Amino acid sequence: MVITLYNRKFTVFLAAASPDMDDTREELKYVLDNASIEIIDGNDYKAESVEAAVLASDCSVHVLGKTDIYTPDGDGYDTMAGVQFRTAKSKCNKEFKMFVWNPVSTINSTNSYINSIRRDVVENTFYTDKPSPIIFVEDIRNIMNVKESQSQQHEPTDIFFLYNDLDSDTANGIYNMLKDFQKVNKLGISMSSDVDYNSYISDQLADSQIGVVYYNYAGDWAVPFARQIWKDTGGNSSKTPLLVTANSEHAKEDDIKAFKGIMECTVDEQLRIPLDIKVFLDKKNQK
Amino acid sequence: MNNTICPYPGLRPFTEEESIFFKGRDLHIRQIVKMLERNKMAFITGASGDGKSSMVYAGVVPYIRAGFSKAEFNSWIVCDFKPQRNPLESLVKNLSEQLQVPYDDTLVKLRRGFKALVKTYKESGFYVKDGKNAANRGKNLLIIADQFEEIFTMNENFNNGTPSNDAYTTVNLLLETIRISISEQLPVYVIFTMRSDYISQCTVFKDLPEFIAFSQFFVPQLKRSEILQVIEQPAVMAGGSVSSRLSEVLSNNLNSGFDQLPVLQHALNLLWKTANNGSETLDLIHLAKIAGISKDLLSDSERQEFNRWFALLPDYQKKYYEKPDLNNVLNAHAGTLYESAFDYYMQNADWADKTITPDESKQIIETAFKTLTKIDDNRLVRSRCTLNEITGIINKPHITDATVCAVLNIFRSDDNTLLQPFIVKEDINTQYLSGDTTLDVTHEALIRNWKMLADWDREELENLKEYNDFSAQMQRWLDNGRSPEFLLGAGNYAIFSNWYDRCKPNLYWILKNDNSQRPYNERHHSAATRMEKCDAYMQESRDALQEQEKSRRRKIAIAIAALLVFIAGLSIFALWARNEQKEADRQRQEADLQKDNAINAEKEAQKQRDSVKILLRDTQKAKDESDSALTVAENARRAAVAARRDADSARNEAQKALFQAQLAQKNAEYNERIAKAQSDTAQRERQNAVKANDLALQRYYEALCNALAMKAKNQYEDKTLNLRLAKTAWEMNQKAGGSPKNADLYDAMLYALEQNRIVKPSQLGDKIEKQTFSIDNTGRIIIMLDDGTILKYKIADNGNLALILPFGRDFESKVPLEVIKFVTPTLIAYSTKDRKSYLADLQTKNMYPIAENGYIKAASLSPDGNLCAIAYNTGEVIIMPLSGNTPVSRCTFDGKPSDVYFHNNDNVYVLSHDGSLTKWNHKSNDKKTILPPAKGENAFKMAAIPDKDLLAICYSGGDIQFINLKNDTKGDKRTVAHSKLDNIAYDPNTGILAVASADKRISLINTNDFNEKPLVIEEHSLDNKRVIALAFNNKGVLFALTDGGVLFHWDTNPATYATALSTMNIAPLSQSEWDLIMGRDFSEQ
Repeated sequence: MVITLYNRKFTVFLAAASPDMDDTREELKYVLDNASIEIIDGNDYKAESVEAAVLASDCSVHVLGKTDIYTPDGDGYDTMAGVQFRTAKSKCNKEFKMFVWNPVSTINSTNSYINSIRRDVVENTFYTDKPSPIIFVEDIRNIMNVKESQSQQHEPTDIFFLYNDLDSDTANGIYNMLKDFQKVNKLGISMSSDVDYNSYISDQLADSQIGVVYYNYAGDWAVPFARQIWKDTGGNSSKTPLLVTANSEHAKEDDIKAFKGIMECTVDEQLRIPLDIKVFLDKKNQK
Repeated sequence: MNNTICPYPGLRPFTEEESIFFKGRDLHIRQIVKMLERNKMAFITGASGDGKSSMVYAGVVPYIRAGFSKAEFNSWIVCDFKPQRNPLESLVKNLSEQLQVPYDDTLVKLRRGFKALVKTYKESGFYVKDGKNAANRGKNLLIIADQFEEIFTMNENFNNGTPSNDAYTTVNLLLETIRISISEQLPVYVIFTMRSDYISQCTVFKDLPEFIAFSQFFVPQLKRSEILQVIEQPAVMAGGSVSSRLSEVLSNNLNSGFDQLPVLQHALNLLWKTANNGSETLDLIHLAKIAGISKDLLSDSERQEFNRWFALLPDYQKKYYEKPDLNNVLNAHAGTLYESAFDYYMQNADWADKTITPDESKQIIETAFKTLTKIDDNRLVRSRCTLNEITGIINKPHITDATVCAVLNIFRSDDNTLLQPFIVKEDINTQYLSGDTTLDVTHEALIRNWKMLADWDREELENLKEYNDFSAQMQRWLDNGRSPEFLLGAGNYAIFSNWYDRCKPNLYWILKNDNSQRPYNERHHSAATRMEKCDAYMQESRDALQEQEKSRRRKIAIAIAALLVFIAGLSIFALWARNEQKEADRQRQEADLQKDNAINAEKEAQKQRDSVKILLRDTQKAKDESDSALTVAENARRAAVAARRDADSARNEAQKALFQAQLAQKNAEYNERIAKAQSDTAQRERQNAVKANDLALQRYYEALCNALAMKAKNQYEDKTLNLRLAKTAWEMNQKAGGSPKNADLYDAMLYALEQNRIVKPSQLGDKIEKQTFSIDNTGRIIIMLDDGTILKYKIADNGNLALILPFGRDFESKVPLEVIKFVTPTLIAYSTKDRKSYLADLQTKNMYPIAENGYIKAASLSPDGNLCAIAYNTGEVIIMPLSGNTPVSRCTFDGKPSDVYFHNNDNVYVLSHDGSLTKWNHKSNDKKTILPPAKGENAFKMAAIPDKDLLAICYSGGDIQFINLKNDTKGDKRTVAHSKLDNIAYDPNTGILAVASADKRISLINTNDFNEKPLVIEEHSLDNKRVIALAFNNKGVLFALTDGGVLFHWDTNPATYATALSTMNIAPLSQSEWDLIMGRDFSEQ
């Protein structure tokens, strides 16, 4: 087992809250501090300097109480909690996340302003109504420590051609025909190898126009392999489409049933396979 | 992308084919694969429903098949098995198929244990050691022992703490295979998956604990970011999308612990289908439609759409939307299937006969699920069984295997998958099941979340208990040679006869509950024999009881007949006696007449004798006639005597007859009295029943009152709804004849009035510096500021505090005040920051400096109004004359005084911080300890209850101790809260004692009746502030000042609020409002 050490340091903008939440907010501040999270206290900022404080943080934390944070105060001015919530929401994106905590959910369960905030949740906004500040801060730390996969720089290529070592003879023939008119990167998979294929393939596919999985004998391998890399690269949302192409010498139409409805696949003679690949590439480029 | 592929499998695990949609466990899969590479095994444990099987089948297997792990050969054989009822046979069945070796032969070999499995693999032709292209020709072997806990949950495998031989052999084979694989570096790998709660039982297998410790993987709970992946990414990969707000609601509402993932996956599966098979973005409205959230969370337009959709639902389905929640989705789904199974059966099973009724359809489902679940070590678990076992338990001639299968098909359909084997849409043959097909609940999450199933299982458990009792009695009967003495008595027979009718036990039911390890046929035979014995026992018991009953009835009939004969005889005898008496009377009268005649005759004879004497000398003839007449008279006399004797005898007989008749009459009266007594008893019982009924009705109204009160405390857009709910709650309370001192009702009424601004707290803001106040006898609120200014307020008609002008600086102080204590509403004791103290009289406006240094902690005025006892933070308590500045006496207390009470003009009770109470006679300077220091508790406040000569002391633990001041003894102790009691006040007009505790609660104790439950008028609210001062005005209104500067007030008589509500012109609750808020199950009766 591997344990997560949560080494990433980040700064949280602890927004002002309505007065009924003063004690809770203060308690949360201690918990955040104990979790070694750096805090910018929203109570220390005036309305005009909130934006700068938000921008200096990696995320913001908002504590909701009984009072609607958007209800103007007695003098008709926006509340500080409301101003800071609005500012943080406008900055919310992949780099700046927003955490909303409703620790008194039982009291607030019928509160329409909480419901409207929940309805307005957008991407990179996280809502929690668990009363424990520990659970809330655990969630914050977890979300803020998710590593965006960082693609290593690979040589951009048109076709990333993948096959099992079992089919290396015929695969090399296809590769030789393709490389004359397209930029091709090939990779033969050997099970006894120490190479971490998984991350390498994901990274290289991201730098390729299309991915091609070829097989002749290795039908048992090709199906799970193609599915696995389709999944690892984001399935239908992936920028790099996958083609599974099988050599009709040993593969049969029935073999490709497994791919039906998921990705494109062909069963063809060896000499026609480079053409199939080229057509698939052209089709992708036309889109 | 074809959107008909649902990327969420629902309750069943992900298959290898669905691995493309299996997200959130990437890191864990890599860790398990590394463990396999290194140790040749992985023992995966975790809680039920955390995705162990999915992780193996949709994670590890595709990963290694894809070539992402290091192995000797380029392809894999995966042999997976579940132990089921015979783990060895299950293993061999799959192994022989995968390695293409004969089953029987392999079973014989593997029964010998140890290296037999490795040998079978080596000899199979898939292990290619040498030669050209060995890597391509050979295949690695992966053995998966899935749901390994079945070794322990199946009675055939594990009984009374002992594993069966085949279970033991299976474990031996797997462990030996791992050993050899490590030592010989063979490409053979073993994965176990098992629920972690069975881990301690693994110790029954030698070596297994060491292997577990060697390579265990405990499935971690998914973190928030991983849960978001599980929700969002499958949809994205399948070409759909999930709204961020739905992801957040789902991940937030997901309970941690058991069933987290199955509940989520099931909900996602339904969401996908509800969102038109993923062609719409999965959103909150879809979750509301599957009863996963309240419609309150929807926008107005969505809510309208939802309402339109909801109105079309059948009534039985609507009830599942009363408490929408993520865990409720599964309950609602299963419940809906249960209700609609009959229609589905009628529409879809053309091949089954249609002879059953809707109720029978429900009975089939109930019996099936009862049979498919059982209680194991206090846990509800799955229990596989065959279709014909279920049919057997139902035991109705017209209900066949085909009927049962057809009714259950709705649970097996590929849209629902709650019961396996599933129906595959493309394969129509999967609709039919043969009788020997084993059925299984897809996931135990269904057992834990389907409320109806939980109820059935509880009922089944009760049935089993009754059966065990019955069996024990039957066994005694059997052990005693079926002696009639051991048959069931009337009481037991009635109990077990009821159970028999309810449970309808039969062979298959007994078989299901047979936990022995014997082979199936043997158990089947045993169950059949057992059933016969049960029937015989019941039959013979019934016969014996009927015979007893007949005999008893015979005896009663004879007794009644005898009694009737006796009564008739007695009546005839009485009649005869009366006739005899009449006859005797007649004879007596006749005798009397004869006697009279005789007397007359004797008189006549005497006359004649006299005549004869006179005429003696007359003729001899006359003498003879005279003698003759005498003889006749003598005869007559004798006859009269005899007649008289007869008459006496007849009278005696008549008296006897009369006595017998009187006896019979008394008996009859006695019987009448008994009948009357029985009639009275019946009357009393009827009255009791009426009372019980009234009580039940009263309880119902009380429950309704409480439910309405709870609802009245919710927030509604229409705030008059709070009023109407509270008013209706009050009406229900009235109907229940309940006490008006119902805390929930009180709270509801107050809340409703507050919501409508009819009653509201008064805001003092930050004007109160020293956080104290008093109320004078005219109801004015008096506050002293720290510069000596006195402010007076009154409660205005609008409920706000209104300042009474003008005010002056009556006691202006150059030095700010540190402590202010109201001794009486018009007498103030205060300390300035320079530690000087003063008494100030608001009426006379006199101010008296006190020659004492320190801050005042408490003060109390003597009953005659001349002296004031003042406690200081220095530990000193002094007695001050109101008109002087020098104490008349003083005393030091070790425990630091926190409150004082001048009981009579001589004695002062001093409460110390350590909880001790001392009575101090300030004239003689005698001190008497009334209470010793409290262990682990402090005391800060006390209140006198002068009219009852009591003193109430508040402790930090939440208790109030009453002290009887007549004899200085401890009285009642009441627990008011579970936190420190901050403040206390007593209202002598009503006898109510108000106590505020640190948990923001205010309770009222009725000192006129200590048995009455305290009324909590405020609970965990007060704007989250603590009460720092409490006081009553002269009208029973309680005022509480919080540290937020808000002055709250309550009428301590709940009837006041009730009167306010009842006099308001508010419409009663409409039927639709009632149904919406209370649900249709509640009616106003």
